[in-house]
Amino acid sequence: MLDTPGNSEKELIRNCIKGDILSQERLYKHFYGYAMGVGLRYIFNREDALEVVNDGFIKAFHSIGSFNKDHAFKPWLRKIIVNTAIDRRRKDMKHLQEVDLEHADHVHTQAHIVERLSAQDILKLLDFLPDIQRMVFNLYEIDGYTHEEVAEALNIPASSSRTYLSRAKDKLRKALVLQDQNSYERVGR
Amino acid sequence: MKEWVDKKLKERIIEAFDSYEDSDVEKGWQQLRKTHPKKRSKRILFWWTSAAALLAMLGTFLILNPADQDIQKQITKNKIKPVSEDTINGRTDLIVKKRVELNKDSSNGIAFPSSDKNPEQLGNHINSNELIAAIPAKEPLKAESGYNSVRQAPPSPATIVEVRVSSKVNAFENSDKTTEQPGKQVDPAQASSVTMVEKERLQEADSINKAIMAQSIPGIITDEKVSLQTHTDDSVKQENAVADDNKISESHTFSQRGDSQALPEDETVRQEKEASNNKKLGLSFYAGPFFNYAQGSGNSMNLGAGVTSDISLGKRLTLITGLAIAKNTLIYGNKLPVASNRDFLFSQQDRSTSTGSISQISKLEAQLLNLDIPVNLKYSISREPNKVFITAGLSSFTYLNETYRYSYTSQNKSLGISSPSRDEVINKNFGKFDLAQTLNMSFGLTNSGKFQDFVFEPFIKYPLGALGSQNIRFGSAGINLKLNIKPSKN
Repeated sequence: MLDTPGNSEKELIRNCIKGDILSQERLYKHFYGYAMGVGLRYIFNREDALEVVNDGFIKAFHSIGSFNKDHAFKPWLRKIIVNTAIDRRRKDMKHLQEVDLEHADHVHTQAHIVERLSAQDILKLLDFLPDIQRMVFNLYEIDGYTHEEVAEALNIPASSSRTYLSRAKDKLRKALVLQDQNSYERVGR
Repeated sequence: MKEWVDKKLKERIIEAFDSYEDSDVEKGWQQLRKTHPKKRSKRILFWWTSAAALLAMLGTFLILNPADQDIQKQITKNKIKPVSEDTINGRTDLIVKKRVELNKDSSNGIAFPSSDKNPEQLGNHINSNELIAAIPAKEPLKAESGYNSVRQAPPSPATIVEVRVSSKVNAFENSDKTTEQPGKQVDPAQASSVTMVEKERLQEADSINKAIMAQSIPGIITDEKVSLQTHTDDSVKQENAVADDNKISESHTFSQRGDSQALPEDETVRQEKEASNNKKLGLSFYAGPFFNYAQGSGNSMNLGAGVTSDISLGKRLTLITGLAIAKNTLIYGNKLPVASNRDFLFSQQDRSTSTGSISQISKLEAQLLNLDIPVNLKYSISREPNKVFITAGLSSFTYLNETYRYSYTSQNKSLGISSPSRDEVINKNFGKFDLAQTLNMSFGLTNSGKFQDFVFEPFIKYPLGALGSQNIRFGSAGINLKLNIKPSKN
């Protein structure tokens, strides 16, 4: 890695503050993957996730003047993407899905199953979760929100946030087993 | 057990998505640009607006304030108050150019119609053979000290009476008396002393002046006319009088001048030819040295040359456009232009990542051979023989060749090894077109020759945006030596 990437990132941000389009493009392409990862965790559909990411970048470019350059850019951008995803959920509930995993066998989950999970596998797991549970799980477990903050963001009671989180975790465990069984079946064929 | 799985899953999710890669970055950016179109930089917008406003103001000023300013100056110089446009339009259409040859005996017999409104004012001292005066309406010339004032009846407003008097005699010796008798009635019978021949000549002169006036803008008298008719020759003894409005054609204004011809026709023809020539297309060739300047770069001297066509938009305004070629050189040391530094580092990033080395740029030399397409407006401040002018406008650039030579060192931190300085050259041809990214300003001095003008023109080009494929902001300042080929006289 260059000695200058840090410098380059700061330079990019400085130029983005000046409104330099080329720097915005550089910054976008530099953080696109990370931003898409965040977006896909929250949004089922890839196209919708891209819209969320782009809307998030636009917000970031507009408010980059308020960014504290002494802090890392990633967490700041992640927060913007997450908030954009929440806003989108408020507007569009079409992706609400309910997947019944009750019949999944409760088998002993091996540690190696989790460690083998790729980003795509994780996204598939998350797809098993209903929209609200997926949001609560991501916000609380991955992005570090408190239940009160989750409740405020999603406009639900904090107690509901706890309930949704509990259900989400339960479903993920079951989905994990199901996915592991499927992978065994695929290997066995 | 559940908690353990949850914890492992959480850690795995964070880890997996922290380094998440997505290959559709280009598609994503294109979609972003599509949904959020690129906006013009506010700074560029500001300069565009400013330049446009400046040009609009200049144009408006020139349209609303035509050449009568020159007349004002000339009139002021001659201590004559200007004729108001309203007066001219409303009250007169007449220029009377009279040549009256009077002999000594008849001089006293000239009739000066008068009225209560416009008392006669007669000059008393005529020494030359010719007397010409331009008397604006209701604004009789004030007798200047040192002159023997001749009071006469001025013409109707804006009527210009030109009278040649062959008399060497003090036609109006008793000017004081005359002055004291402003309402003096002149016997009409005395007017008969003007012979029939003289009347015919007066009519002839009258028709000539009407023709001249018809070619002029109503209400505007050209400089030459005014200056001719308001001469300030030392030999002149100026006289004014007030005329009866209702007897315009009979009023006379007297002034004296040494020569025998007034407002020669060839002068008018010359003006027409000059105006006609000015409307034609001019061609200029120029070359000159200049310095490039940019933040962080040393100044280096370069050379440029070009050709322009000058299109007359008015008496003082000219549109200049053309094509020029110039070589621009910028040499950066430690402080590199942001875009160049960033682009080079990004281009090195993959290489560096694989080798674990660090690149550090120590020098950048940029050479840009560009074609300059200027569109400038020239405003002539002063006129012949040594014209002074200012120009302002915008330049667009395209680049025949761009060469960026980077000098850099690589350092592998893990091994603690530094490589010696290396050069990398990036070459581009016709890489970019920068539309109106430079503000041009200059002033110049023109030395007019018979067939061509020599122009000495210091200039400055101020960058309004980033130029070239590496987006460097640079300007230039120098001196152009220009040869302006005059259009043919045909």
